[in-house]
Amino acid sequence: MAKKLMKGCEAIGEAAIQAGCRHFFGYPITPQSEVPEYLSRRLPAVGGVFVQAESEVAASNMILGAAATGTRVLTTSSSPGISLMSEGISYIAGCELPVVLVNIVRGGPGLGGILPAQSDYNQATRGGGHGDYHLLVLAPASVQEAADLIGLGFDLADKYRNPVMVIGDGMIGQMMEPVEFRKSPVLDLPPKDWALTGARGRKARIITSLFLNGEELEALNLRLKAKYERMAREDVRFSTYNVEAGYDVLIVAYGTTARICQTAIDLLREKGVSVGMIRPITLYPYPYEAVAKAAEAARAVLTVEMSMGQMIDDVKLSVLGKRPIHFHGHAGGVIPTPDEVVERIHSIRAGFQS
Amino acid sequence: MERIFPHLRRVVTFAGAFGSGKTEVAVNFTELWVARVAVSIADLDIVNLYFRSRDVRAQLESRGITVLAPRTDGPMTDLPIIIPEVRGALRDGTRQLVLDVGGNDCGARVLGSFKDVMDRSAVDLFVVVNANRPFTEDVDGARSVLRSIEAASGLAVTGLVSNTHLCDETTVDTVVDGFRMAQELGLAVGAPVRFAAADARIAADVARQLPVPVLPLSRRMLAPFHPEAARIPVPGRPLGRP
Repeated sequence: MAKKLMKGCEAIGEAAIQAGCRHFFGYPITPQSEVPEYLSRRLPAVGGVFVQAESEVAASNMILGAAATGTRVLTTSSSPGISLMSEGISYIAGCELPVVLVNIVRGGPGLGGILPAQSDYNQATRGGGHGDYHLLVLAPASVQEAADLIGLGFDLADKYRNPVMVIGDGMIGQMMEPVEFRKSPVLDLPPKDWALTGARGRKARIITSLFLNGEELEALNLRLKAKYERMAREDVRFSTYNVEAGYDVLIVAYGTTARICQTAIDLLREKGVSVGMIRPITLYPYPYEAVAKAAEAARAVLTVEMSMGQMIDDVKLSVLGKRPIHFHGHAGGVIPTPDEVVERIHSIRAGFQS
Repeated sequence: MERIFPHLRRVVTFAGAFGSGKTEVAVNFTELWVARVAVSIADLDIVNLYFRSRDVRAQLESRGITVLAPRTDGPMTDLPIIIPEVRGALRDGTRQLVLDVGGNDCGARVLGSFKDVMDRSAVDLFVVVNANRPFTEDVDGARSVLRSIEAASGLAVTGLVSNTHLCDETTVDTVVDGFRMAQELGLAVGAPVRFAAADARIAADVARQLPVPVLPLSRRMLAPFHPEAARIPVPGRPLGRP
């Protein structure tokens, strides 16, 4: 398939279709409205269903219902909309249903703004709604990766019977890059022997998140815990940049911010300064071991985020006090520049000499 | 300019599908035009606040181009405002004006609001086409977008701008292949391809293969991590701050 030029939001929509998703329920909100815009045109053309719900709360319950039938289903939103969906997402996690959620993050708290941000890291990686649950969270750094991770996300949702969130800042959703739709290596997926497909001729199935018996609910909590431990064993993903060359500062960044840091690393290399980077692709499960190992080779660690510091807590949990951890961040839609990162690296390295 | 792009009307409007390159073309076109005459550019994008011509206001103003866009805030502010100066510039029969319009029919609808101050015979409506973009990959798709823009704006298309590219992966062939589609589209809708646009680095090679003028593009609408983005104000960074 020849490459197309697409916005991240459009690529997410097309990738969902390529992954066999035929159901979208959602509500427009900047900066992700291009996903429903795209799918409202494309889904009917491929025999799918597009419903603009009356609210995000409704959309989150519609995807619960659709997923319960075993069909692949997508919703997309941006920060305040995800907050509204949190009730439904918690129910979906409790029902152990596979759905793919997309959060194209804008600045907050509250209504905030409509500019790119990474300030929903905590909400995404710690569950987000009530109760003991986690989403599997994937963070693309390019339009191509956004498309690839949507395909992978549907597979991982089915593999674990767990909601998967693909999280990108507004820039990932809005910028255009060449993209091609590759068949993701299809995982060997279990049969959906739990799906509500009509009980004629078989025993009725029940999908619920209501367990009034404490032992039954704890059994679910233990099953979920085992699931998250398996994710950490089998599906941690990350990439590295310029680590082969050796480095005294390690950058940890994800999404658009990682692209900015990559440019900064290239600028520094021209000046003879070698800096390494590790970029988490799964924000949950987090690549704790990989970050710890990469940090050991450095004298200091720099975390760069478009927030006031959220992922830095996971970096601290990786490094466990063995290296100093610095932070550089902007919020509210202000985007760090490569030059700023270069400056920060220089000042950190100046500290080594003194 | 008259030599490169003959028979231009006083007001040149760039419309087209979302992400077809309207702003990139409008900005580069205006910079070329201002070398000959006084010209203003009006940023009429009230649909999407990412990647708009007001993001490069300082650069345009430094070249003597008047930028008609709300000045109340920096770039990336969601204020869907058309400032009154735009109507003034449309009424003023002496100054050249470039209109940079938002995407699709919903972006073009703003043109309809100028009906009372627009002398249609003085207005070119150019539709920018990128054959690598969704929904405008073939003549049928591109024609449907074009007709919806005409209906929303109340104007008839007077020309096409062939702007097929793949960002950093564009080759001469990418542009030439896209031009063929634009030419077919032109025949289907009865409007000529007025010019093609191509990255300045390959524009000369492209020009040797195409029967129309080629506008060399120096890209401004770049993601903040793009190595060349350091030259331009970063979207999202309010003006006036370090």
